[in-house]
Amino acid sequence: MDIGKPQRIVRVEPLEDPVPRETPAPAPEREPEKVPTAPGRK
Amino acid sequence: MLDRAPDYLEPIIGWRVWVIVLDERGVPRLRSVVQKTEWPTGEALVAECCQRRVLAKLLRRPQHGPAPLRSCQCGVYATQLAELEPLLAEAPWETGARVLGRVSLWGEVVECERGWRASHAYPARLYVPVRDGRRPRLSQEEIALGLADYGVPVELLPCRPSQAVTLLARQTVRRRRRSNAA
Repeated sequence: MDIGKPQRIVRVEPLEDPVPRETPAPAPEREPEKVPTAPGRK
Repeated sequence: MLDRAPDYLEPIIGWRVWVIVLDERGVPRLRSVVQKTEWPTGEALVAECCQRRVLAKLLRRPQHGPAPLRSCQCGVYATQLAELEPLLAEAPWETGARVLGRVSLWGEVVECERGWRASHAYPARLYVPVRDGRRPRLSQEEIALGLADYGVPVELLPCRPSQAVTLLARQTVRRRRRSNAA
């Protein structure tokens, strides 16, 4: 790619990140823990 | 990075052409046309000087600092839309599928007569023309689907790469007219 002769150097610091970052997936809902019951008990 | 205030607070937007290659999982990825650099998804492509790396090794000299250097030819290249035409012309030999798009440039950027060389780059918007290359054996839609991993808009073009510049230039003119009329 011929882009010609250099003219000047600039410093570019975007306020917003130009790279779209992945948003973390929401954690799956936890099922309520089952409390074991002793055999024979109600 | 030089220790000075930034000149711009928004990325410079240029245009580029990429060749489509498949990664180790068979997913389409962007690769630079001249250098065999695969563009990562979700992180910026950071320039390094490949020319000096070879030369420095041969001459046993240290490489120069971070790319791009004004006196070198290194950096991630981008240009204006009209300048892409030669890269998208019909080739008499077999080529890989080609896509084009807008690219964000930032960090240290060498402004040139018809484009830029930057230290950092990431695609901003991708356009997938009707494929003209035989490799990889994927449809236009499959290529676009794989490129969605870059997390930027991906658009299918109803034309071959050689007609893409004309089509996109017309779209830009129409968009400008509409915004001027509003």
